[in-house]
Amino acid sequence: MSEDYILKVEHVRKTFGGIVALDDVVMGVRRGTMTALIGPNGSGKTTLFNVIAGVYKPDRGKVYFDGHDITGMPPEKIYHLGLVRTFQIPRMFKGMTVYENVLTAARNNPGESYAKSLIRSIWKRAELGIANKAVDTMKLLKILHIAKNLSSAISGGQMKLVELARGLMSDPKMLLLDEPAAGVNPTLAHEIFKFLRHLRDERGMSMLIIEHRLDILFDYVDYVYVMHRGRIVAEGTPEEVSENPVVVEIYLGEA
Amino acid sequence: MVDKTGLILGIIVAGIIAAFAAVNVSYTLDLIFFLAFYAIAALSLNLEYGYAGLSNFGKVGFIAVGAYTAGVLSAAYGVPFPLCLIAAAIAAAAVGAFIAIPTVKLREDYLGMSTIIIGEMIRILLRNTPTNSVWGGVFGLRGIKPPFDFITNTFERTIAYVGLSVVLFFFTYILLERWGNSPLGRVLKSIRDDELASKSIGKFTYRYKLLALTLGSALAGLAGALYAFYFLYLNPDTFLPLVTFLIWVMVIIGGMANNAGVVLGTAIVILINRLTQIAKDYIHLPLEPNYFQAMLVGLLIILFLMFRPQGLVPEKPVRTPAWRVLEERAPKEIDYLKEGEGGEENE
Ligand SMILES: Nc1ncnc2c1ncn2[C@@H]1O[C@H](COP(=O)(O)OP(=O)(O)O)[C@@H](O)[C@H]1O
Ligand SMILES: [Mg+2]
Repeated sequence: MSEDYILKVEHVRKTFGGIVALDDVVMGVRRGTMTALIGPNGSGKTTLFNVIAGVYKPDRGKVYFDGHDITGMPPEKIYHLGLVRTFQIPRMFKGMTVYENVLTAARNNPGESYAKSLIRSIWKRAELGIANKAVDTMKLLKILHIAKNLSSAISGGQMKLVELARGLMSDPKMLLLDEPAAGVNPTLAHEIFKFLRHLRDERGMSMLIIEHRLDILFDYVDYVYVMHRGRIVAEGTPEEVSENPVVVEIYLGEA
Repeated sequence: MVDKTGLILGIIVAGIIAAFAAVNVSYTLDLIFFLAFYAIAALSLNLEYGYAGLSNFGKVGFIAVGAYTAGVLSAAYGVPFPLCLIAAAIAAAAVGAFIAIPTVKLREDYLGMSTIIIGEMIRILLRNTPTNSVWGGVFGLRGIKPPFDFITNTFERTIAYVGLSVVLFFFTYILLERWGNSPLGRVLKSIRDDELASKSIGKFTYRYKLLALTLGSALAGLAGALYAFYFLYLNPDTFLPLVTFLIWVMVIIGGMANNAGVVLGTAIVILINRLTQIAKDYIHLPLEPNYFQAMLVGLLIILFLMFRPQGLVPEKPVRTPAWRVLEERAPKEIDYLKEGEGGEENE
């Protein structure tokens, strides 16, 4: 069973002082699927991402990615295993252009070492390859025209796309996307999700996606987990979840 | 591309130096030495702070380590001049790494605090040791062997030494430019701008920061050694926190993460210092001229932080061959814009 799960979260608990942000969370993402994580504000979704991505150590429980125990592993190591995350609130390298933001996210650029960076001929070829890939990625995400803009001087929606572009530069096995379509108009939101679906179908990429806009989300994802007060309270296909009375109650209660 | 403000100011600075040269050659040599010395130190801070975002408030301490390492090796052990320079860089790098290892992983302010402390601690240690110690305690270190002693004419010797200092300045400048305009430059800036995001794209930020401080300290140590062999005498009280402050001012007014800007900032701060020193012989000031200098530099930094925080020559994108790819491809690929879009492209 664990073989076809690329990500497994087992009995994870995380507290902040008195707040229990995650309480015995058990969930997983099947290889090659788009899995959604939904739930009202403050239910613990971003905290779960931070635990998976190595920002927080869980108080209890385990996280496995692609056969590795990644519990408490630092983010940079998790990245090199092929798990890449984006942030709910975009975190731009604000002193750099959009293009440089995307270039920096490439994997294994030899010119990033203090010694090798001094000799251009060592890294030039790799850099050109990365540059072409960055242009391809920005083109796909329709941010090529803002490549030269300072990344602090673009709209919030564009920042989300830059986040996604950075995530894609390393050809990850799996993406953790925290509200990838927040702050963008519905047309673009659909385009983003179509693009993600394309990544799943063409590249076999797995994804765990947090998203508030269920109307859009449910058109694309294969499986849904519902979180409430730090616990997974329901799971299933989008159809099953939207008919689940528990879920309906949570969302009604929130309104 | 040369920035206009930078170019104009650069010309003015060069003009002032040339004017000095016309009036008094040995004064000008002295000025050039100080420019080279401070520029190396300011460039090393630019690596640490401008690129990697590391607040090193103890720069003078690393300069002192380099100066005293070189001075003691020469005066007490007769070590040849070139080896003293190398040893100075290594010793300062070791102290840099020693401080970086425990602090770089912690929050930014811890690094700032530990470097302030180390900067002053080194001076106090050097000062409060017996005067019969190899470095002479409060009496200072004497007997540093003059480099280029095969040149008998002392004026020519000074020219040779100042020339060497300028060469080492160029070496430092080229090193920083290579680092800055490479994929490494982007990684350092990414750490400076958002360390968590940098980690999330797989950068081993701890290693990068550790090396930035180690290499920055090595360069500061080299500057210190140049200082030692210029004066052939060292006193602990030369290495006051004011030196660190001046170096910070050079970086901030010149332009962070811009090496040309930092050199310009160095020249401006030094020239202000020199010109006020000269002016005090002619103008009667109502206050102590040294305080007046400090006030002037302090005022300058406040004005810059308020009105031009990016410095005289602002930061530029990291130059690598990647830009050529964008220039070639973007005009062809950007057609999709015409197909009509979601309307997100407007800010
Ligand atoms: N760093 C933190 N320190 C303290 N409390 C936190 C921290 N991060 C999250 N929390 C708390 O944990 C709970 C879950 O937050 P979060 O994971 O951001 O929710 P969601 O992403 O589902 O909206 C909230 O009560 C929040 O206040
Ligand atoms: Mg959240």
